[in-house]
Amino acid sequence: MEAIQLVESTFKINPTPTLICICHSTNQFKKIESGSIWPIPVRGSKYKIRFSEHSVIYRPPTNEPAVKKDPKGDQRRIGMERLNEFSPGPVIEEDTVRLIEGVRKYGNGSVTITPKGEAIVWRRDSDGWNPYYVGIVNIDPIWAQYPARLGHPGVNGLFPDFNSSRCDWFTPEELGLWTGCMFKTGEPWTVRQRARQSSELTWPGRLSAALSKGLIILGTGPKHAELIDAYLKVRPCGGRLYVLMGGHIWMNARKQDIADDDVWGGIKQKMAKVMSNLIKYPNHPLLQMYNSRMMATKGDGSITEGCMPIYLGNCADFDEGEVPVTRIASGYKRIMRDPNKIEGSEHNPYADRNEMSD
Amino acid sequence: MLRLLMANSQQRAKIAALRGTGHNLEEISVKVGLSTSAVSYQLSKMKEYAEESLLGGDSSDIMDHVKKTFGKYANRYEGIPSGTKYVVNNDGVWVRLPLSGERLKVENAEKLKNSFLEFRGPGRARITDKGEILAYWNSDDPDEDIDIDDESSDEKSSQNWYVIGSVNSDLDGVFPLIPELPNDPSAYKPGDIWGGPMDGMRYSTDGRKSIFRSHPSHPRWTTSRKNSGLSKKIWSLFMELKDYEGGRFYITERGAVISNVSAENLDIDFQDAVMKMSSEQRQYLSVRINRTNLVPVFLGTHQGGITLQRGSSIHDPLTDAQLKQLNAMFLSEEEV
Repeated sequence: MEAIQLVESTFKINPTPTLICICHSTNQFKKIESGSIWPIPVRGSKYKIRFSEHSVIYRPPTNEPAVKKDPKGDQRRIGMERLNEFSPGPVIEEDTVRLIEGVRKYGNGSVTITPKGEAIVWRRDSDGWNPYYVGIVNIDPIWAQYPARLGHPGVNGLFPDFNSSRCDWFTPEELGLWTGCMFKTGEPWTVRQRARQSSELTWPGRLSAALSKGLIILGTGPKHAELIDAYLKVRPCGGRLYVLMGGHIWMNARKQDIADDDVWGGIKQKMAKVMSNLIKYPNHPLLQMYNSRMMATKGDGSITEGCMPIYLGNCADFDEGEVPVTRIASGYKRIMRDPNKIEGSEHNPYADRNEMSD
Repeated sequence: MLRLLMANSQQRAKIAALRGTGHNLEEISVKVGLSTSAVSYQLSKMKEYAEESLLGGDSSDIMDHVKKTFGKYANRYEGIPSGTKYVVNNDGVWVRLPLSGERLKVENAEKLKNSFLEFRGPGRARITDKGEILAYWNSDDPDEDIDIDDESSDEKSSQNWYVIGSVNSDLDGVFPLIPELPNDPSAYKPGDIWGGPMDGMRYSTDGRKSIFRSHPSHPRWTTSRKNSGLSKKIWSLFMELKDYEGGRFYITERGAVISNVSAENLDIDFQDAVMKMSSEQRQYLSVRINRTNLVPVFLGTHQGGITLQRGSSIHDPLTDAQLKQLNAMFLSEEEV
């Protein structure tokens, strides 16, 4: 297997306006300019900008990923920080650094990217932290940073990416092992039991706990019957799913949650196929991450009782391609104002070890 | 006979270790790269030297003698090595300027040179914030010279480091000095542009509770800010200048805590500050600003370094039992 020579894309944010619905009850839309306050909940994937002297290379002949010192030295990159490990994504274009600095004064720090590719940053104003819209990103920092893989989930750093596209395990199959980051990646949604009737996804969290903390739990509106049906076929008890830029969806499921033998048979077969490839490389980053994921979610049981990360498919495959969006009623008032969190997720989406008990 | 006299300190240490672990002359000869007669001669000289040392009272017993003579080669550095980098060769000790590549002679470094050359010959030394002198040494290839920053995905670059001495015990407490790049922290006040080498023991922080050092081929080594011993004054200034986002800082062997910060966060007359700098200092500053738009700043003094502990990592190797468990749930009954 030869190493493919692909040019790494740089990350940029175009300061173009975006149109968002600010009140679903009245179907009221608003054009948001770059540098304006983001008037609706800040939801999406958390990324981080920082200097890193590392990038990811793929060593022939297997093209398995490895983090390596970048011959160009320290560069400002956008990536993910999970479990105290920074996964370096693409280098950021200088114009974009200036653009972000213009909005929040400094370049490094967190950036939230919505499934639509809208970049949001936080700024500390005299009245506290406020979210600001920066623009539309050219690529998902982790999922599509190399042109040849646009539209396909693949990851870097701790996780696999571009040249790995020649690896058998790279592109996840529906209801197969999720080959991306398995810790809090994507906009989080919960499929509840009642969703069978309501066709609505809701923010994660227990309602009683949320109320006692003064938090709010919102939902999508009744638009996701097919997606919910697909989810509940795998995990009838309900649970969490994550939507990434580009519409990719992954979910959790314990083996004992999967009641349908045919569904388990299919998952098992696809999982076995990937595992048989990965097991040849005992310290493969994807295998290590999968092990961490299973250990973190097994509770007091054996590792086989952990939550398996499963690729559910793409939003394009369900409900006429509808991407989940929080339904906003008039009078929405932001309660959570913390640059390190996203609304509708109880825990810090940047990983400390606590998040592993997700 | 010339060949017999050629065994260097590294080879002697290796001969002693191999002999002590039951290897015969032929095996030692192959592993050390000397003839069997040279190895035999070396062993007899080592025995003579040990007897003299014991009789003369230089060593209390044979174990003490071994520790004193070969101990450096067993004193592997625990953790992710870092520290101020010095190039050591037979002509002296040097630092290399980033732009021109020009080498600056380091003063007060004769003992450092001798100690380092005796251990491994020419190479690159690192001095930690605790004053430990580190050297790279691969017993299978003593001439190999890899720096921690050279090839960071190669485990060798971070694991083959040895503590060969300390500033206090081996350099009589005298710190290396570069006249063009003054590194004495007492010459700076917090918030000044740092005019010494932008180097030292490297630490990172996410701006919250932990301070750590990371490396692609290692688990993170970490401690809490509370246990780091770093003063609140230094931490507050660091956080303020880093926009409360955290980042990297360095501690030199003389205890200077330094960091690169955005120029906009400094209340400094840059024109005036640059005018007062030597051309060498300007080079350091220029490289840093051009590459990152950041300025090196002195934050304060912290003596004694920071002790980190190895953390667990997603990169920890998986055991055979773990691999078996992970795979087992997807196998059919016949395959298990």
